[in-house]
Amino acid sequence: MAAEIVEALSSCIRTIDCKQGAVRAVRFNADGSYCLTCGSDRKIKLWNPNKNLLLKTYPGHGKEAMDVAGSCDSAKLVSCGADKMVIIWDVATGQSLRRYRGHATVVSCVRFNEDSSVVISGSHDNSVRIWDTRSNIYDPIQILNDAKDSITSIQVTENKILTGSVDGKIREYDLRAGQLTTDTLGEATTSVTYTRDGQCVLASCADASVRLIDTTAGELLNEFRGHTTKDYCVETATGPGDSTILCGSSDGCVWIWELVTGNVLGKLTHSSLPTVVPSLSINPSANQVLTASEGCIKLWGEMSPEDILICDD
Amino acid sequence: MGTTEAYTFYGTQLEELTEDELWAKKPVPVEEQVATDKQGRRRFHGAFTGGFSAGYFNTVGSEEGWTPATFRSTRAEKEAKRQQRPEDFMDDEDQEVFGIAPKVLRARQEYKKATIGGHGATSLEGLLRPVRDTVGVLLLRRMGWRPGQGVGPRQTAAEKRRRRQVAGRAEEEEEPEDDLEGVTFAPDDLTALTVAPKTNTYGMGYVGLATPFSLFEPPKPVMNAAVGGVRGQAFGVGAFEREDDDIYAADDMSRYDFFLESSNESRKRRNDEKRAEFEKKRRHGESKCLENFAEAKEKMATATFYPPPQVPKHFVPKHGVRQTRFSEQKPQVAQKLAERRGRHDLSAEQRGVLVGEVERKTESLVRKPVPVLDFEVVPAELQLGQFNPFSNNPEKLKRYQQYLTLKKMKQTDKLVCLQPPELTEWEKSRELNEFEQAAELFRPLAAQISDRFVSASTLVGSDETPTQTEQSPVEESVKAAKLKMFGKMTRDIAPWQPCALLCKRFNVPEPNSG
Repeated sequence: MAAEIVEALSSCIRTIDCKQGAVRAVRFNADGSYCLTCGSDRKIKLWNPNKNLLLKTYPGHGKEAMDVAGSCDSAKLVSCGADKMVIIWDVATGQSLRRYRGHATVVSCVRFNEDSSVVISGSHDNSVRIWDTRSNIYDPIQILNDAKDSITSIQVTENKILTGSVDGKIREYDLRAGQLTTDTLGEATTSVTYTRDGQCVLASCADASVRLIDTTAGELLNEFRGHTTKDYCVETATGPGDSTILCGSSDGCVWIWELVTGNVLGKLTHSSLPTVVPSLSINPSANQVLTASEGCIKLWGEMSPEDILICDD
Repeated sequence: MGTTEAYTFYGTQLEELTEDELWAKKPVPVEEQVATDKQGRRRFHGAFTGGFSAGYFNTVGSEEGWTPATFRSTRAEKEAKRQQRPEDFMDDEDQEVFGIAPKVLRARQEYKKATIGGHGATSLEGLLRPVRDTVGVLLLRRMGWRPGQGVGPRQTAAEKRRRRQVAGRAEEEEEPEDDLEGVTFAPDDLTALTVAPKTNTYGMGYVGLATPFSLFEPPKPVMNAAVGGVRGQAFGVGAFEREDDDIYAADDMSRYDFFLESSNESRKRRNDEKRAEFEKKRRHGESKCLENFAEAKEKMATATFYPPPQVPKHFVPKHGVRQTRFSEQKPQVAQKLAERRGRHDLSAEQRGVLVGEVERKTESLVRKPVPVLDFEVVPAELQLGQFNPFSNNPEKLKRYQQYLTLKKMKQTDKLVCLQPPELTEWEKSRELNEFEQAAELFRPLAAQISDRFVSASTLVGSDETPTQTEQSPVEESVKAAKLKMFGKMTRDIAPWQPCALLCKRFNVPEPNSG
């Protein structure tokens, strides 16, 4: 089962040269039909990866863009950058709707919540700031200052906020229970994500490991090794079907493991050169993966039937 | 009827009004009482309504029309220059009372200003002379006054001259007549004050360029506002302003250079002139200065001399040094002080004796059992040396030393046990305060320095190690994580309150409260 998935994924359907300098992050939108890339040229670009089209460019950041997230209705997107700003854009017009200032330094990650009424951003100033998009408040409605080092990654679910920090801890803020659960990993955490069922947390650490932590008890369920991270921040995700784990590596590939056994199933060779693959994104609705490295992004997986007809490869 | 012959009639008689006419005529309202001129046109009581009514009804010169003047000039008969006067353009209306050139009797320019005799009102009095002299005049005449003289005590010639000078009458210098030593004269008559009214509209004090001024004479002294009173030049300046130069004042040529001379040369020239002047004076024997010296213009202020104070006759000076409590007392002095029983040094019994109290035979109050404190006074405390605040009371001193020892042991409250029972409560507390203050102030040098330093040994034992305890839970979890012992050791659950708005946005009920 897992092997089939990996085989399906291993074919690179598209390669898009973003011409944005270095692509920091690539994200699928809420329904997986478009993708967003953040570049070191301070612009956000909206692509249709299946059709290889650049749809829109969003300039406005003062320094390189670090992360981007699309809203649930794909009408808005939020981006954050090294200029300490969090900007909400209107997708269609390309105008910036809101600019949130508050972080003291580089904002590394940003997410919308379930209904895109709230923006949660994490920064290298050790804080997670929560901004409200519905009201006129330009200040953060809440600041989470529990981390002792930079926030590298945020994940938001229905009623939980998960943050990973360089101080080696994963913090889960449960809104319904009113609890903060801190799991010490001992190693700087570069990326955190929930598994599809929400029972486990995947965390990629700086010691070249990906750990699977149980959310209920905090126990380590599995550990995945083999790739290299060096000093880079790499991202990890659960593959489609929830049976595989993907993680970027500094050797130019994306490694795939089987979740249960921990065996390496395969690699997506983004580039033959040992360049880091800092970002990857799983298509929420299709069997596709986007990986970004250097200046281009690659789409892996299966194409939908309509796209096969239209594209001219 | 017959009386009418005594009357003289003047003016035209009004027409007699009949009764019917009276009743018929309604009173004319104010708005309809308009003034009209000769031609029946409305007049505004002499106000110029605009537009000259030149000529004949604003048209031409006469009913027949206006004929232009002819110009005829031949070689034989040259045409004279036509002088046009304003009267040529005026008509009868203009020359009426309310016109622009009324024909009235007026004084000509040269006679306008002039008053009779130049004295104004008084000149009229000069014309009207009384028939008889008044009584006062008659009396004065009897006493020797003649018209033209003044009234008052007689004056010598010198006095008279001085008075004349003061009055400001510029007279030529008269040679003093020495032969008139004892001759007295009648004083001068006072002249009436004449005030010339201001007939122009210039500013006050302005004389304009009409006054003759010359550049080659020094200007008249300008009235300074500082002198006071209402004078010229805008009556002085405000408190915050500086006085400007008088721009209407005459300029003085002495302010300007006439020769191209450097400052050095000019200075030299001036000095030479001064020297020459001085030499001349000296030769004449007028100045009493030494050679190469010049008389000072201002007198030197002599230093004021204050005489020493007057000492009373029977004053015997006694010099005594004020003694402080802390200086070492001479033994004799100390003894004397000890002997001398001031009222503060008395005990209760002695005081009672002095006052004349009857001895009480009642038992003394129950005293608390005094625990004997057996301890050694630290030798360091004994070495108070210079800082001996209680040198005249050895018992107190001893108690003070014991207090210091107690203080070191942090048992200062035990001083009560040391104090003798004769002291009252108040005295005991007072002593305690005194000891406290003395301890603050009078510390031997060693003590002062030792206060600033703490020995290392005290630090180690005294403080607990909170940092260690702080670090331990953190380290523990990290250690556990390193050992892959995930679970309880690595997990930490803490309460966290999301803000209300956040809960609202997440559509989650607020935890820990609702």
